[in-house]
Amino acid sequence: MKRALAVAAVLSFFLGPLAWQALTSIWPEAELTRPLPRSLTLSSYAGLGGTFARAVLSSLVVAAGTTAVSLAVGASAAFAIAKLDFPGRRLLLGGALAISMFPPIATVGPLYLVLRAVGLRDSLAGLVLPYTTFALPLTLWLLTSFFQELPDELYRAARVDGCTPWQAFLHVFLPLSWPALATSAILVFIFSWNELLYALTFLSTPTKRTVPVAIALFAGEHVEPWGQIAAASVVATLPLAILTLLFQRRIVSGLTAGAVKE
Amino acid sequence: MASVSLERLRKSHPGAPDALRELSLEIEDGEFVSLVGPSGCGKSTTLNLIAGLDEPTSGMVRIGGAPVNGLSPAERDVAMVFQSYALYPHKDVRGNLAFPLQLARLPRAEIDRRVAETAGLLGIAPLLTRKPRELSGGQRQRVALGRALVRKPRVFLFDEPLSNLDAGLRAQLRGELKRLHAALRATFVYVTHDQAEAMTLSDRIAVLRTGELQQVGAPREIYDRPANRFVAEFFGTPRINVVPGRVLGVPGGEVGIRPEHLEILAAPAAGALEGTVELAELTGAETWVTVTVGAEQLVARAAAEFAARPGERIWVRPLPGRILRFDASGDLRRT
Amino acid sequence: MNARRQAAALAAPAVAVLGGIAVAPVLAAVWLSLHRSILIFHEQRWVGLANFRFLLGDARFGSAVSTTAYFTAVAVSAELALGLLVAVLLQRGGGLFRAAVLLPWAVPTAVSARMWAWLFNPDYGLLHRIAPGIDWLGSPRMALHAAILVDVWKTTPFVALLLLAGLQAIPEEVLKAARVDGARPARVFFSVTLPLLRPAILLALLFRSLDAFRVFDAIYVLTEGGPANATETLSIYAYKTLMRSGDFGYGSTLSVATFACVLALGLVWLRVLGRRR
Repeated sequence: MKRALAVAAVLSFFLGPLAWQALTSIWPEAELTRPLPRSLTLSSYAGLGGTFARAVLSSLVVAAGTTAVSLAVGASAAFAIAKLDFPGRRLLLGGALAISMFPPIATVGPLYLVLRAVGLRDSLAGLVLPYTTFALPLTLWLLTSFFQELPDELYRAARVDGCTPWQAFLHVFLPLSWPALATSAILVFIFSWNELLYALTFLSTPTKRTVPVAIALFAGEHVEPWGQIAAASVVATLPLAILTLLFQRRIVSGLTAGAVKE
Repeated sequence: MASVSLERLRKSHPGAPDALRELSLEIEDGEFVSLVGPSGCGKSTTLNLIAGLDEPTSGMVRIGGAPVNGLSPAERDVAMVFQSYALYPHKDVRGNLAFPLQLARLPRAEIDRRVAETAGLLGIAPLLTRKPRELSGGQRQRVALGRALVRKPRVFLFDEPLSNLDAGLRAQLRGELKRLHAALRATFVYVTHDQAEAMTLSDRIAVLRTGELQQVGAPREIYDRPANRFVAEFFGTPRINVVPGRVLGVPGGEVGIRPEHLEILAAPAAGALEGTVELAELTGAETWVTVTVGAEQLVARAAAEFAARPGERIWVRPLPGRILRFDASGDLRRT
Repeated sequence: MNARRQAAALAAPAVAVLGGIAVAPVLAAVWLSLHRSILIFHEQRWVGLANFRFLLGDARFGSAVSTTAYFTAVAVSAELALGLLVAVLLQRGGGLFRAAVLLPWAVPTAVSARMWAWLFNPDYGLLHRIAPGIDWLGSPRMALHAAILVDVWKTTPFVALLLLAGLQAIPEEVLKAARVDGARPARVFFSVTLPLLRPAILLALLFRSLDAFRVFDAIYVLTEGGPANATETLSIYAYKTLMRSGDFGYGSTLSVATFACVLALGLVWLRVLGRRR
């Protein structure tokens, strides 16, 4: 009985605000002053318009790009760290972990100047590299643990069969790492989708904004369009909610992998 | 096929004692040589050095007379069979067999031919479409063997391939390996910690201990004329009896006598020692009798029908010419 | 050996990205912090440690530090307590419960901040209908706590997961032994479970306090640092200096100072963690 109460309390704390936001998104603008809506409407969604749709697209592009790059760069490095012997491999892993603790604000200034100098400032491509920097430590950590679990003899067998280290990675270890790659991909995607500071700083054209920026800067002409903001929030949250529901087990294992290995 | 020469190989890691200390060994073309010793003796290290999975700190490895230091495993044309089989889990049996040939860029027809030939030879043709996890331990080991065979390498390396199998399978595969060697006449370098395996399979045995070669020789020679106490104790079940020399009437030093060379008598006789039965263990085909003689205990092998009980008086007589004398440093004293 | 070169080649892209996009900019920020650099004036000249001297006397910096410290301390404590409760519930919860608890973590911070802003809204917000009289975002005192609430809502799931992993690592037999020895459930929890949970708790504290100290998203969207800079944390102050004022010199100084604080905090925690081993 006590447990059921606690569960109910926890669920209402975590899901309550989300439910309220979903309700607000179908609440007619004119009736916002009332305690509860008398009717429901989809006009808030309709009013979102193309700008927000473009924001979703931008977020998708950046998140997908970051995921692809960080997995490509991270997988091969993780394999090298786990199975090969090269100087500084522990430094790389430790350094990556330390870098994940950097405050983004510390790099935002110089990155702004650099991106401006190479002409990538107001572009989605210019976001992918900084995002990868924060995705990489996570990817490295997850994939290195995974590769370490695979037997060393497998690598020796591949070498004796004639593989170069790269071939062993490509033909033997990479195909075996789909679970860890999937977990990394999901986590990186979520982190990229949620990022605000870099997107806010580097993008200036309204049409290029990603979803968090669009929502942060959402402004009506006279009053805050709360209905539309709620609608935008729902649209922004929906893909992540689906991802979380589908891959809950992967996400949990990925987030706690570091803790357990400690 | 090729010979393998190890010339003064040394392998050491910083901050740790040497894994291998100046090991020199000549393996003839077509020979079956076992590297034997307790864990940590350097036998796996040696195998890795021959394979090219590791480079020696100093010294030279030659295959077929040509130096191979610095060459990758593929370039050395050696194949290896691992203790845990190390099959590629995501490939089926055919894929596992074909993989090294694909890496060598052999034409497709040749690959298919060799895979079929090898699968047929090892009796795994019906398993070609199965994945490793669907196979039994014995089947997996055959596939691992097949993966090595299919490459037709100059040298075959075995890293304790039978250790993970149960006793019955181990005996069966041991026989198959011996027949395979006879059929192929290939150079086999075989690592094991099981002395019985080494004895039954090898043309010659190399005994290693903490990185140093103790003795190299045919099984008969290793068994009958061990170079030192360590080798004597490593081979033979039950273990050789090593006692102070005076127990067997030898002045000074230590002596060794194998259990099968101790005759058990019910009554005193010339050259026999008096003792008390301590323990009698029936193994099925024979009985191992532990006898207390003076302050020492000797183990002797008796017929299965041996009936004396603990506490009874008994006499043991060493067979002439079978006593091994060891000097102070443990080496066999030449008589 | 060729293999070693190949190994380095496999790791090289990662090293390049981390070095170029993470390490180099931090070094560049340090370099910039020693200059007076206003972007729109195209001004950039060396001033040595003048920015840092100014920093030490900057009252706004002082209050940003204390705001950030307060935020971190309160938020992390709340998250730890609540996270522990949720972790215990998660132990025997199903997949659906876990997904539900995970949802706030998956929601973009900007979105959740907006969502709570709506709840806090003085005219229409739900919280106002329930408890009128509290001006959440308008009063300087309440605004920081509103931000803390948002942070707790968003990151407690993550803390709960870390603690769950710690709970699952406790061998069942130890708890059974305690029960057999006569301890009641509450006693078992405080005398056996919590001490064994210490590594996980310390880890959660490490991650969370470093994260909380760097907070930006939630506060930017919720209050932009207001009202009257009451919720201005270090990151917000640095951001405004860099982007609003275009002062890359002093802005970099603030960034470097923030980095130094986070580094110090991290080292302290690592020392605590290290002593445990």
